[in-house]
Amino acid sequence: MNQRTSSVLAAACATAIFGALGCDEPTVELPASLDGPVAMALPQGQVCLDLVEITDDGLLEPQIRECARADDGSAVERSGFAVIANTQSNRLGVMALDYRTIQLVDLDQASPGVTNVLVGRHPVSVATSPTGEVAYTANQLDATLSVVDLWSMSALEDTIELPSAPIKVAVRPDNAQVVAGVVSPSQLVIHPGVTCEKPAGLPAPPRELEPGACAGVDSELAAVELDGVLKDFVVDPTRGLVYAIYNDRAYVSVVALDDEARAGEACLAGDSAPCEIERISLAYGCSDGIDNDGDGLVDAADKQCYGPFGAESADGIGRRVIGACADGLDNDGDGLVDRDDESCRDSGQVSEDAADVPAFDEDVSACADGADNDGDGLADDADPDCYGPFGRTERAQSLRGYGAIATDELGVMLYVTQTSGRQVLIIDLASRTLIDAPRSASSPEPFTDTLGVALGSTPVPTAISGRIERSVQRDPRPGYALKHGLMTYQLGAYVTADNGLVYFVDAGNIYCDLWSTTDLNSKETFYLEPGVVMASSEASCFSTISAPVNVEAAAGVFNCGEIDRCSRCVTSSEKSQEEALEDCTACNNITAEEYGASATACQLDERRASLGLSSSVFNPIFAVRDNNASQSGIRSSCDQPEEMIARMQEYIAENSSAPKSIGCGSPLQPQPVSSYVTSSTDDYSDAVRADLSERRELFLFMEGDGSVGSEVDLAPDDYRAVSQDWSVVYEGVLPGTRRSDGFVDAEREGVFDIGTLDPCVSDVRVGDLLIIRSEPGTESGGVSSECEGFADATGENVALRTFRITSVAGSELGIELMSADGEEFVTELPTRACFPRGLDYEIRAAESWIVYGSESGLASGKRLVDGACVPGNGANFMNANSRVATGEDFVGPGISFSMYPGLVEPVRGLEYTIAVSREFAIASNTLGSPFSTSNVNTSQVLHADLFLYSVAGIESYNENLSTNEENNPVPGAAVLDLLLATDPSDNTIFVQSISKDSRASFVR
Amino acid sequence: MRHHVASRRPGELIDIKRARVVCGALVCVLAWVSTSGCTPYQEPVPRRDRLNFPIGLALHPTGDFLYVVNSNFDSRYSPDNGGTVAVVDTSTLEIQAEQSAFIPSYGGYVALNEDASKAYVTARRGDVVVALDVKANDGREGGALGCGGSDGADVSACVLSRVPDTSDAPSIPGDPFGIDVTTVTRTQANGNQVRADLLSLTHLSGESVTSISIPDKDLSAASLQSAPLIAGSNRVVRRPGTLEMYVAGRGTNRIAVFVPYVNSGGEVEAIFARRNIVLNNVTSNIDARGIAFSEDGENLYVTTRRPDALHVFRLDDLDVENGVGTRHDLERVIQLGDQPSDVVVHRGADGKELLFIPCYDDRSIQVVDPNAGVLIAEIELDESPYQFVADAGETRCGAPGELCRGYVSLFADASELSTSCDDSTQGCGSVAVIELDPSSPRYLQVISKIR
Repeated sequence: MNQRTSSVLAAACATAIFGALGCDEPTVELPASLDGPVAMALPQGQVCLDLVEITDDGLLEPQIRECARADDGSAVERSGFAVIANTQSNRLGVMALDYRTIQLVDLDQASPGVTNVLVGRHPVSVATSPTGEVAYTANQLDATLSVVDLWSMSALEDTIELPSAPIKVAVRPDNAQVVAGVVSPSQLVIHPGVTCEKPAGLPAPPRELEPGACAGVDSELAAVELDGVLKDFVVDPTRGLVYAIYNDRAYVSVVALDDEARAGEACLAGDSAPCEIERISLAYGCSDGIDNDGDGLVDAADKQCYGPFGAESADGIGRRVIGACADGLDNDGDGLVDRDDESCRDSGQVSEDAADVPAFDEDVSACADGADNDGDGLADDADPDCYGPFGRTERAQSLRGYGAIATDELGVMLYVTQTSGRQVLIIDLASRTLIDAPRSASSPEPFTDTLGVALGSTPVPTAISGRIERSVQRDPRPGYALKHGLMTYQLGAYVTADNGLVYFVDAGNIYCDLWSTTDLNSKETFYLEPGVVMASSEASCFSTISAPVNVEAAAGVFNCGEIDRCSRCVTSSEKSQEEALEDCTACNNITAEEYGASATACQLDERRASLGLSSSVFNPIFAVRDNNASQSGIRSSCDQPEEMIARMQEYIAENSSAPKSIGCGSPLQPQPVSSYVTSSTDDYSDAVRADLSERRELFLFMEGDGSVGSEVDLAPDDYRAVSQDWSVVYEGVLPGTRRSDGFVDAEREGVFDIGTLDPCVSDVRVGDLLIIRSEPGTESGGVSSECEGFADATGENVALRTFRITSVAGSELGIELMSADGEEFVTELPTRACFPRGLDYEIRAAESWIVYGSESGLASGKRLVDGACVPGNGANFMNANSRVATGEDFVGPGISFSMYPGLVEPVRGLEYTIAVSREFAIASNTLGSPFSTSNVNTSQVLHADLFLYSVAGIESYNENLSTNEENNPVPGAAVLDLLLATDPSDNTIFVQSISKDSRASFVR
Repeated sequence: MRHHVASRRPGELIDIKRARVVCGALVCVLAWVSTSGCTPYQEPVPRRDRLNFPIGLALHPTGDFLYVVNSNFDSRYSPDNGGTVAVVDTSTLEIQAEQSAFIPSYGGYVALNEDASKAYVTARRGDVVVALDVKANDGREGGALGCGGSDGADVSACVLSRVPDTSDAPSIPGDPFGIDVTTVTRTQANGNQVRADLLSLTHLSGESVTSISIPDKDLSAASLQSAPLIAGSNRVVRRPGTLEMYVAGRGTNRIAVFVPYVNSGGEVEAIFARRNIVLNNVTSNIDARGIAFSEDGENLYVTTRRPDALHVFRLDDLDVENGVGTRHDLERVIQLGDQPSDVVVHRGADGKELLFIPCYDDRSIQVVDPNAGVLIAEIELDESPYQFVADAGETRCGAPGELCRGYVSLFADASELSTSCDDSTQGCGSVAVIELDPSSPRYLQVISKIR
């Protein structure tokens, strides 16, 4: 081999090495101007920033000037930029929003790169004063607040020293105070607001401006000690209050910043503000750390609490049935109330009477076993974490995982994200109460454990921003347009999640027939001057929310779906109302008085409120916004046993006037039908089989003459619909009860052991039918002569070995022989001699229909507690039931129907399948930037209305924007409603105009 | 021929190593064909008094000695013996060369068993675990590493590539990297008790996790089970009070949890997959680098690189009414500096648990108060911090004023005489020593450096 060959091979060797290594080199990324953008704020104040072309090739230089004012000094122009806290570079960036291209601003063109404002180390939060000339950054590593003079775009040398590392900073809307949250110790630190004077020489580039005179930096701090580890807080936009959530507490603390804001309420500690004045529950009454019913006892110590899901009182928030053992009464007259009565083991018990106590397993309860189960040195009732003497765990329960808190522009609603529940909790701030969202929605969902609006099973909420979408329809009559309008408000919140999407959670809508004593507020006033709005007539539009209307609760035991069905029957009847109520099975024996009250309630008058001449309606929604125009629906099919067809043919033969149809829609045959279907139909083949949960809305509309009318509107609630198949089977097998582990008791006649089957959850009842599917035999094989009576000679009549269940106790069923009644059954009870262990068996409902959802399961309304069967979640709220008799109504999770009786008795196995198709698509935006679509870590989401003004000399003004919004009486201002989100991991800011439905852009 | 290494990270070697092996073979073939002198691996074995791309660290329970895994990451030395485990006397901060041990190249992490008699080290050259004996030196426990009767110069008898070390025994899957060692006790039918070192391994390539049980420290009785649970598993940690192993991976968005089943004879019979914990629902490859539990096992901390973040999970009962089961609630996601490579829980003299998170490209350790969710300090370092360990001995860190230090491996920290590891003849990498005594004026500062 010659030298040249060697050289070539050596080169190949080197190439191979470098080629192999090349794949390991990192991708080169251009340096981003943002460096860990974790938070932002929009000043919207008096500092305006223009970008002025300073070269022929379009180089833009920022110039600061004072925003334009009207002759009376009021603002007619506001800042059009955002400030951004860059955690990694310790700089405050500036982003111009009111230009064709949203862009970062280089504050000093003379310096290379993008010049930002240097602040303290590791800024994690930024806030601006309402007048817009001061920004504050919370610097975690320095434990300071930097004060930035936005006139000169420079940080003051003096900082506000904090007692420990801050997590957030916020400014009170009246600029009276700056609030910082610190965590070691957990405190809200309060400092007077800083103001900075306008410098001389404007307009000018920031680099030519010296920081002006700023007042108030050296003021003293006040602090409010907090009970838990502070997680997040928000300042009320109108009331001088702060709402704080914790890492380790299940409530919101309400802190009054001064005595005026305290408004006479007592401090929880101390005598004067700033102080905590109230705690708002974020969880079930028995696990929120609050004495909800005022008896001085909290959670596990409260005698009405049996576990974390309960409520301390019947009107509290919980998910367990409040029965005789949780009603605060001595029901059996033994002088002992609720948990003090040793007969009480669960809140759902129907009686305190020892004779009625279900058979609890005495050996199960961790709080009654004499042991220290959680290793805290305390056993049983000495352990404060025990829910009474029969509590089932000694471990302290923590229902928490609260992430972020936000309010809307007016402080109407408060929103709290809960990462563990993947949900958003909603609080009505007028009443300061948590709304039990699933049960308070227009289409209540009583079966779920959640208390908020769930984003789904997997997305974890990361950030939230409250929102009121407002629209105005003015009175068209001459002279009324400025004083009278039909206002519509959509209340809710934008929520980002760790799946890279931003959702909108709808809390509800308000229709308001508003008569204003002054001119109706402009859109700009509404969004930027909440104090003015809440002092105006428009504030009355929000008075309806103080008690979110649960129509069903208002109407007593009946829900509006039932009332509708009953009402349709009554209306179509030619009899008197009282007679019709008796005749109509859909009315479930409702009295005329109850009917009247319920029917009225279901017209939603409870949702109305009036104040003076104005009136308004609040329609609760509590759902993720749907972007699918289609509505959920159902399809159905049926499976007819041959015997059913034979019976109908026999009936037709005997009744010449009978309908001739024998198909699934035959009126001869019992079948489920929607309450909208009248019984006069000859054939139900095309009939809708069931009703989905409906969202019920009372909406107002304005006529051409300025009058306002109302109407109730119904639509399927697509958010709560579940795609699944419901099976409705006559005398169907109870789901899960076809098993192979049964055996006949060897000693006791008529006792059958069902192995590991749980008869409570499977809803096995006295009167149901046990069918032994195994043929008789012995463990060694063969059938002895005395067992031949159990054998089915045909091999096809399994039902021969059917027995009626007479008792259900634990895993044992008492059984008796069936009366023959024309059918063939065995005539002796089974014995161990004839049936070995491991029997195949099944349990069927007798003379009723079993309803089962492939996703929702069996709505049995029961739960097992220490071996005893007690009423389950939702059992006292609706007709939670796994079965329905012919001629009755079924109401289950998200679905209801009437079981039309037909003319012929149904046969076992007649089955209908009702398939629900959910038409729901999340109204969402994708946050992932083109730079890194798989790297989304949103730290803040912000929705803001930016009001833009034509400014002389600014050529690049966005002409695509409307400059005269229909409902905005301020001429010349265009509104840009922006959704912004920071992603410090990807060094990007997401920007999208919602109203213009524009494409998102990403700033780096 | 060497290449620039400053931009590479430990553990990102899978493809490189494979490529290098292939390339090495190619080179050998070419060399053999050409007889031109392109002969690889002519360098000597590494010096045991130097650090060389250090990765894994472990402290002896007394705190007197620190063990540093040197990876030979740039293949400067012979692959089979290119790495070392350096023994550092923490009182003098000097490397005890004669007491240090050679290991195969591309060493990963090192962990000691309960009685500190064994130091188990992963090495990807040959896909092995090296079971070193921890010995006394000059009467000081932990002062030397060796293998049986041999000192650290020859540990070949302690290198496990098959378990047990027989030709028909199962091999350790490719690229073992992370390691957790716990000691379990089992009672046999005759009443005798068996104590076994239970090793849990991660593998940077493939989807396997591995459990190895070594009863009575007898390598010939060791047993192995592997199971495909998670892509590119990187680190493993045991939840305190349980045998549940939590595994972080580079090629996934989840944490896998498994439990090794060790029978009464001390043999590992099976790996039971318990659950998966999703870290992020948009990222399929979150690149988890560090994983740790709070002392009470109630909080789980995971650091990731996509995004650069700390994920804080709270562990609670799944069934809160009955106090059973386990659920993992994501409580916080905290933004970190560039490229976090570890997370360590340290309870300081003030009784407060803090997290120490080396950030490779940020050249810092970020100190986080996990309960409050705030960054409380940033310790600036020279270059590429990787693993952090902190004193925890009986006489250390218990009260203000007691000796309390942290150590962090600086993977590609060039010597003071060089500008990069490329042109250094002095070895590469160092270990920075950090003051952790809160009463010291130099609290959370680098006080020395070991090379």
